[in-house]
Amino acid sequence: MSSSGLLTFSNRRYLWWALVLSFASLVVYLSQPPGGMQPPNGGTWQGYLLGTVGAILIVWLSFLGIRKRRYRSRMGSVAGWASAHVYLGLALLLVATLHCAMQFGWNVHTLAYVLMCGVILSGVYGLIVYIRLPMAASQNSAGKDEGLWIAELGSVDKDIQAVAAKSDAETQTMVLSALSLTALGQSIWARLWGLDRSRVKLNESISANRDQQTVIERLATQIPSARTRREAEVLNQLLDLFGRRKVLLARLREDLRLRSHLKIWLYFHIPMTMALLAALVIHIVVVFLYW
Amino acid sequence: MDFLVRQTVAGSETTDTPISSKVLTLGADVNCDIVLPGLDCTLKVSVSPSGMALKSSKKNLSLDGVAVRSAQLSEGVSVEVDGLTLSGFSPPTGFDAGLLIRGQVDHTQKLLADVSHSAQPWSMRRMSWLLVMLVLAIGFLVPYYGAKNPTVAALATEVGLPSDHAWSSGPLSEAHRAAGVELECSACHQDDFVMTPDSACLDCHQTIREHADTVIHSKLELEQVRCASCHREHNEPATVSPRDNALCVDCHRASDQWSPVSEPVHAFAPYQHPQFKANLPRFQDEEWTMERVAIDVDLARESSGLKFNHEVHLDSSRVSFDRSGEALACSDCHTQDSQNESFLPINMEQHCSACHSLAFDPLNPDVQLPHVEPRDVYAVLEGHFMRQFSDMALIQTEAEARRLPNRAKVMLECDGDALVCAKEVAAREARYQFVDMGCVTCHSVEDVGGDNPAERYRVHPVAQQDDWFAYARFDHKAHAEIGERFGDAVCVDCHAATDSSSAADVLMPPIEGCFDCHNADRSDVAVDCVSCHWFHQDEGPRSALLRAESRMRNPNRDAWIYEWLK
Repeated sequence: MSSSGLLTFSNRRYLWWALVLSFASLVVYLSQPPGGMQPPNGGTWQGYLLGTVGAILIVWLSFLGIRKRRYRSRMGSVAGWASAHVYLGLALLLVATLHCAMQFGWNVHTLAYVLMCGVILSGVYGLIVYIRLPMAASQNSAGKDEGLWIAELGSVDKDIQAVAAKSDAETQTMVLSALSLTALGQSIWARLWGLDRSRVKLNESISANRDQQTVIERLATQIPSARTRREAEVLNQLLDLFGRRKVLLARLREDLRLRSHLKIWLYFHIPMTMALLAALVIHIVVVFLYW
Repeated sequence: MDFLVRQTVAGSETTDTPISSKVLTLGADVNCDIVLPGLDCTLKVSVSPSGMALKSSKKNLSLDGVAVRSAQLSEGVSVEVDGLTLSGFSPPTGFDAGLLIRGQVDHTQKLLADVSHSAQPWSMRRMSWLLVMLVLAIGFLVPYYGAKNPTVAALATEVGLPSDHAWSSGPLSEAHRAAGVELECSACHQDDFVMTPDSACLDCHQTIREHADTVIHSKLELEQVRCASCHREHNEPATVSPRDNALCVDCHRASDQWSPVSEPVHAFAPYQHPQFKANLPRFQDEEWTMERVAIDVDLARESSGLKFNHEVHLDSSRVSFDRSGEALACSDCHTQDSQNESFLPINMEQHCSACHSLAFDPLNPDVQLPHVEPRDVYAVLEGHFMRQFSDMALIQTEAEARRLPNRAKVMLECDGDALVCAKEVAAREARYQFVDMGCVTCHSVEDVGGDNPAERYRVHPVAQQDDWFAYARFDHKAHAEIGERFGDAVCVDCHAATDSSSAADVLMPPIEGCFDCHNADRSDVAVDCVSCHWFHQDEGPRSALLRAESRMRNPNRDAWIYEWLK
């Protein structure tokens, strides 16, 4: 399923469904006259109708997660479900807002609404990254897959170790520690914000080595003061290798950043959906418990 | 302990590194003696009399294909770990041990592992459960058990957890808030899953009555309609009484169903609402009754028993204040009551006597007749003149001194003895007051004839109407200023007092005047049915009683709910 297919599936069939649903909800809502028996709210027959539709939508939208895992299901394609999920999920925002007639307070009813908004907003974020990031990711990886970039990095690192063996103890410590202390996508937050927490051991202390810059600068300053030609050669080779290493790491880090954005919203979307289902049940039970 | 570590990598030079340490450490950690980027464990090499021992932080050493955690690096033994082969070699002089490391750790594996491990902020499943439990506990369990058990509620409040107030779907109306009803949800929500019963409302609203006579309109079963079916709470904006005209008009549009109590009504607009009907007092068979008459018909004449000319009293050229010369204002006589709807009754002493003095004897202008029944008035007259004629000489002197007008002289003309004269003059004065000028100026007086002046004059009883429209209410205060008009200008806009020369004129305004501002056909200032009318009548049995009886007769009214819940 391509990202654009999510929106254009079956000639935007579900966009029309969502528009029809939204329009129908508006008509139902507006049938509550302003000076009527009671002001528009969830307790009029229109309110009950919109609430029922909203509740059914929420439960049905939640089923996408289950449908996705039932690979043998014949209940429509996953692509169709996802497309309907997007459009009807957006329509839900209107249905629920009309159901509650914009009446909010510090109560379990508004809690359900807020959770629903959280779910929909995280979903919208997911949709945006789903549409935009794959393109950015493929541009970043320049047609190669991640494994190839890692293999190239591995080969650079082997070369660095081999060259470092020819250098003096201090340079060797710096270079090997820079390899050892290279941080790449260790925490989700580092991935999300593209943080580089790489470090290096310099003069018996650990310093930051963002973008391998500390090592590169140190090597560059060492070259002019090399005592032998061989030493200068070794330092030059190391500088060259770290330059490549820097580019490779940046690419991998960007790739991780993009891919983590593709996933992070789900960590909000799914737990909030479950909390929403709980709040929805409470909302419905409580309305009739205190009828 | 002095170690010599020799590292050889295929295609590269061999490097020797001397390390002086009790235990030689190797690993990815930069604090190790030998840093091996990517090594998945920390290796420790120590020397004992029995030889060189290798120990790993993980059980990942491979000794002849067997995974071990430690190994003795005696001669001929080599251990493999993470792509490295470690073995001992005879060290040159000056060293205690020699460690040979061949090969290279594949750093890629570590990077690949770093990159491909699924970094997640939290476990989706665990977070889902946590949130569900949290929502259930805070949103339902704590409030529910708090509602059942005050101790739980108190504890919850203590630690800032919600009570069943968190279930409220909106604010209560101002009246219920002020009355403290909102403090206790169970005041209205008495049983779980059961709609608020009428008894919850009628506990407080004990004087409320049904909309109509439940005997005459028994088919409507008014007492079976739940209070809360109209009075919805927790609305926004907070209102408890519906103002929906359709609620009234749906029934009252019927042309003949409610006659004569109510005529067909569709809206407050021309031709859609009946003309106002005033309650006019009628004196028949020695008692007052009220007749409801549409005020735009000829029959709509008032018969209060009084004579009064508004036109004269409001004309400054004829009636004005002595000092200022200003005309009377409406409010000089008409004082609003505290409800802002009616006016306090007009009262002779307070409103009329300043001009209409009840003095009758020019010789004694300070002596006034009492404002009482004719018989008592005559008794006062007789007594007064008896005192006067008992000292005739004084009268003459006073009369000369004061240059009395003719009336006084004529009044006192009498030749008989004091008793006879006193009676004659008193009778003459009574006739003057009741027939010519005096009491008769304001009152209707009937002369039934006869010789006894105390009995021959009958003053017509007086009834002042203070509630012209018994089935409607009106807020005078809200109408005290209209646009830039205020004061009497506004009063006479509706009440045509300046043109009224008869007390029989009904000065209540007809409905057409209201339509200037309030008209359902235009988007003017809206008035609902309940702006002027009220739903619950103020006559008949109280709903509290009626509905309790109805419930006793039909105790299983809500039984279906329980059945359904089961």
